[in-house]
Amino acid sequence: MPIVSARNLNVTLQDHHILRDISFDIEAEEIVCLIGPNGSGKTTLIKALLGLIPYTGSASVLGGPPGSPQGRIGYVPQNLDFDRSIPLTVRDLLSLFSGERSKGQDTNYQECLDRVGAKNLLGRRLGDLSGGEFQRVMMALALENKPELLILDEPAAGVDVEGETVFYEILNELKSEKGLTVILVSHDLSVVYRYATQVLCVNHALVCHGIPQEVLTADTLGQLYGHGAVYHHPERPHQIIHD
Amino acid sequence: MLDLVLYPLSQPFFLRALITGALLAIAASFIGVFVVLKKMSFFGDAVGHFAFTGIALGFLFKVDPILAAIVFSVMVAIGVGYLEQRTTLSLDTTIGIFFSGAAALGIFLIGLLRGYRADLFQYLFGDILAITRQDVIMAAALVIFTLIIMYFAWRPLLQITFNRDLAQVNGVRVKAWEYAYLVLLAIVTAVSIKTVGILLVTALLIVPAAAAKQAAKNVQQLLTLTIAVSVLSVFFGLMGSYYWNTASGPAIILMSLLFFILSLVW
Repeated sequence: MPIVSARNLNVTLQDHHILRDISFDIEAEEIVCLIGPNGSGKTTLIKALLGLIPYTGSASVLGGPPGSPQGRIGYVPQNLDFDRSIPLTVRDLLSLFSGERSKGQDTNYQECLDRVGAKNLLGRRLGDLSGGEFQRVMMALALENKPELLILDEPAAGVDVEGETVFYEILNELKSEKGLTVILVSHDLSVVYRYATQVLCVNHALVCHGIPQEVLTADTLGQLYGHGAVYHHPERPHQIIHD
Repeated sequence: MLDLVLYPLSQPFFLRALITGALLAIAASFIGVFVVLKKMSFFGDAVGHFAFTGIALGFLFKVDPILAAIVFSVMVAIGVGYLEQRTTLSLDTTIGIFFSGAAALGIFLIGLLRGYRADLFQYLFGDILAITRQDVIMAAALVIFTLIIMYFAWRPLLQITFNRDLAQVNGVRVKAWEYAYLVLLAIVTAVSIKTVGILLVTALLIVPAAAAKQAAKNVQQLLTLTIAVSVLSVFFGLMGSYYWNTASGPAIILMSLLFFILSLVW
């Protein structure tokens, strides 16, 4: 049974038809990269799957409708809108969102932080963290309740190089984790080739879905990014799109 | 020196004022923390004006003005929340529309009342020294009600304040808690009006929490310091008001402003 499933999923916001007839299945323990150009509806698809925005068609996540499997999904939103002046420490934040599975104690929080290489941040104020440190904390928060599904919406966007590296190190570790399915929105095709077991290409409609090495052809990439786009991949030098 | 403090406390009217003021300060602190964290100062100010219109309605239809203020403020606060979610208008634009509409309606209704209504001024500026036993009981009931609601609301409201989407994914019923908060804000504001007045009720919601936010290292400290600043402002404000023979509301707010200034140089 698929972990995530969508059938003819459509999203219209303020008269704009953002997603059209999207259908796919995601099986357990896959790492799925969601790719597409800016404004193609990637974040909208993620939000529909999380039950944050209305949609038509059908969708199921962890065996229930979107929005129902609370506490079983870890989520890192894109460009988290957060007031850095709020007097919240990392401990406060982890405690605030801890569910039954991680009933809050310092040892549990410390384990979460150790896992993402953020050992000494527990007592620090969120507003005092660097971009990379903040991203580590967000990742620890997403993993805190031992989720079955991890959804990362461009986690490395707007992060310094250190923060970006951290994400990919963590992703590497998660690849070997049992029982965890990951959906990752990314602009970086090298990330797709390196970490993804499946790729979902979206440009308002579903352009391709499958194993990256098989479905990311010059034609599908051209459909996604336009036929003028050029992509050089160090391990796949033939992967160049042009007119 | 001690006599200067003890003498007013021996007067029943002053003791009633102090107890009522301190109780309202505690209720306002729980609400004020989120007014400041969620950047809702304009909304807090607007609710004061909604309550003003409610009071005018109370006078016009000869029902208890505070009860009318509570009902009208709650209705309009829910209306603002509903419109903000159902239209593309920003929250501050929606509040601005209701704010000016409510103020205009309030002034219009007062114009319909016969004669000069000096008793309306009590609600504009507050008169904590005219507090009755019934007012003390009402303030105590308000604190108990606020504490019960906030016992359940504190964690979800903090999650929503951090990030609405994350809160919802974590199972928080975001809209329900946001409406519950708006209702509580409207009730606390309307009940506090008799004590500190419409013009100053917003300040009681905002200034102590803003002062506490400068010094707090975490949210527990933020709440504790907000309550401390509020209650101390009421205490010293009332003492000042007693000895200098001035209106109690402004004295309380000026005292909280002093705490805010101190927090800036902390």
